[in-house]
Amino acid sequence: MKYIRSIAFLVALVSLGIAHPALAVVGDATGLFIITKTGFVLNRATNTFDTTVSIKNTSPFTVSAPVQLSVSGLPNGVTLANAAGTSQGKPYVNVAVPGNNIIPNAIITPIVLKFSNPARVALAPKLDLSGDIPQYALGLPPDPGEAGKATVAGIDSNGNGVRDDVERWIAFNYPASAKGRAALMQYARAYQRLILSGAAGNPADALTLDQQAADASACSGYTFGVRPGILEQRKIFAEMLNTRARSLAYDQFNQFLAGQIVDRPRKTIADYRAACAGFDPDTLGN
Amino acid sequence: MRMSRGLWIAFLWLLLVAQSFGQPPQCGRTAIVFGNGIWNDERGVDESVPAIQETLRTYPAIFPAEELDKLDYKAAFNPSPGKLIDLLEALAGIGITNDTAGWRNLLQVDALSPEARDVIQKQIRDRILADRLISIDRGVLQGHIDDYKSYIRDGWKVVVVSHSQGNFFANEARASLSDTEKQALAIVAVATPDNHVEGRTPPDAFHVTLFEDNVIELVRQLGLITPLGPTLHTSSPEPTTTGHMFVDSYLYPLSSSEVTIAIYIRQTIQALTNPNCVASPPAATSYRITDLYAQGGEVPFLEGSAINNLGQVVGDGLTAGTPSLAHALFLNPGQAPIDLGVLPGAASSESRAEGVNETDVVLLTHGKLRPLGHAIVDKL
Repeated sequence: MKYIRSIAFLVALVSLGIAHPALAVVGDATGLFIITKTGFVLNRATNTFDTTVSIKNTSPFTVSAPVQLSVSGLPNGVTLANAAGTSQGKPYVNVAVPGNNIIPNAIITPIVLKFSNPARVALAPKLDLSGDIPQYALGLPPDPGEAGKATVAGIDSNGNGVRDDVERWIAFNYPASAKGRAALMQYARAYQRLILSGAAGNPADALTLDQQAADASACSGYTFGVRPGILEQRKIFAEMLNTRARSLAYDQFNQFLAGQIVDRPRKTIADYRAACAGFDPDTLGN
Repeated sequence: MRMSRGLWIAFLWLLLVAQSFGQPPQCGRTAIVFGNGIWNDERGVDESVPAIQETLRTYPAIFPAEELDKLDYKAAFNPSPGKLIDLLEALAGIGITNDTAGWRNLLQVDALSPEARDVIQKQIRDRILADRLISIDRGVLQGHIDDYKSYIRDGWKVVVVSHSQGNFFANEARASLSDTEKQALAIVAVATPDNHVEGRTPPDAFHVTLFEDNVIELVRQLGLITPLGPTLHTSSPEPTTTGHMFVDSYLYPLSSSEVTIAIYIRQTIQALTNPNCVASPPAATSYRITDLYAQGGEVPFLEGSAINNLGQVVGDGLTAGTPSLAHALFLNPGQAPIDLGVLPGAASSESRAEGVNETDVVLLTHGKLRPLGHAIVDKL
């Protein structure tokens, strides 16, 4: 019922053109949690293979009920024996949420999953969470943790050109501004390309990448204002260069440009607005 | 992508004008080239050039909209390999091992601790001594020189707004130009560690250095070179840690340094002439200044000078005895300035509309533009 109410409200706001970014909707919240599970144990009473799941909210958001833990990637013949239902083709269990809210850093355990596995095949189910979360947090990638620092490229699990850790940082730190998030994602995307170019030691596209970075900066300037935008760019820049390998790659990229004089053609306010790639900051509304 | 009708008309008009006068395509335009320092890497350039643009927009009395329209912006990249990494290493030495935290410190997102400030100062001092201030990469410099020559051939005036080490490159580059090319390129020096601004003579060196700039003060103390002295106190209520940052320190909104840089850029543009753009006067037509007077009865910027009613400038060393210091220019709207030659009694020619015998005249002295007022000219 709450799901229906939320969707109806969202539809109403969107139809009025005033959708609020912090509007809560039920959707994919996997990226906001660390999900861990124990090994499988054969439960002879139920003849199921059981595992106990723990979830920790690693986001700054409170996630509200209904929270569902869904399972996919099961081999043929294997089913979730204690499923409460199926959503989008995936069986799920309902997660009991004390007080209906999972606050930041809260851990909920145990969540027991029981698998019917007559052929006793190996199991490696994929677990996803859905919950009532801010609209803009939908589909955020999971926290890559230390694994995200292992390479210069890092982890970009959704393939949108922005490292997962940076995408999360932007979402978590700019909850009130859809256009701000869009502008800084463009900035992060441009600098990710630039860093990778430096790491590869490939100066071939340096001028193109430089222009993309300049465009992203101009877009940020339009979105936040030139001076306030500079501060926000510096914050993202610092998040981008969170390892020495990345700092060195960036330093290398700078050497590609040495000796060159490049155009910085943005002049008018309209030029700055046009520098935003794939979105119009004036229509995002906040 | 469809070009709007207005753009087509503008394009065709520009083409027509260029063909009519045989002028290089960029005549009448000025390239503002930002020459970066060590702290102004790619990221820094991305914030510095928009900050310059914003600064010039902020002062319409200095840069009216029609003048802003004549500006193009560029960035001259100078190398500083490893310099910022060295600073990160220095911060790591006092426990700031996370590079994100290191960058936030260097970029003043987070306030620096006194300990962090000390290690940054020490690192800068060590690097200056190790490098003997700075070594100029000749290949890099030649790249800039080639581009500047190309811009001048294309008709641009070029104002290099150089920050910190960028001044070494800008000075060397300008010194490498021919005397003719030098008429079209000048430097506005910001936080220069160098001891001169190429082509400028103090007190008209067009440089801005803050008394609070700790980096330039450090350069001075180390004695490898004697930088030009400080010119202004910061207006920022919260001076940055180094006092050296281009945007935070020197382009602090509405600060004395910001407005001074804007004025210097404007005056530099006015003083420059691109020799490739000065129209060749028709041989059959020449003019003589028969009367020259200042607007409002005074001569701005020329204390101690006077102009008699025959166009002779007297006083302040601007007499016929020092001809290299004084040129009169006719400024006709929409046309390149016409150099009338040395005052007084300069005779030259220009391409004003037929029948017009009164025009604005400015005087170029010491590389500065000094408005004089109006002149009455007669055909010879």
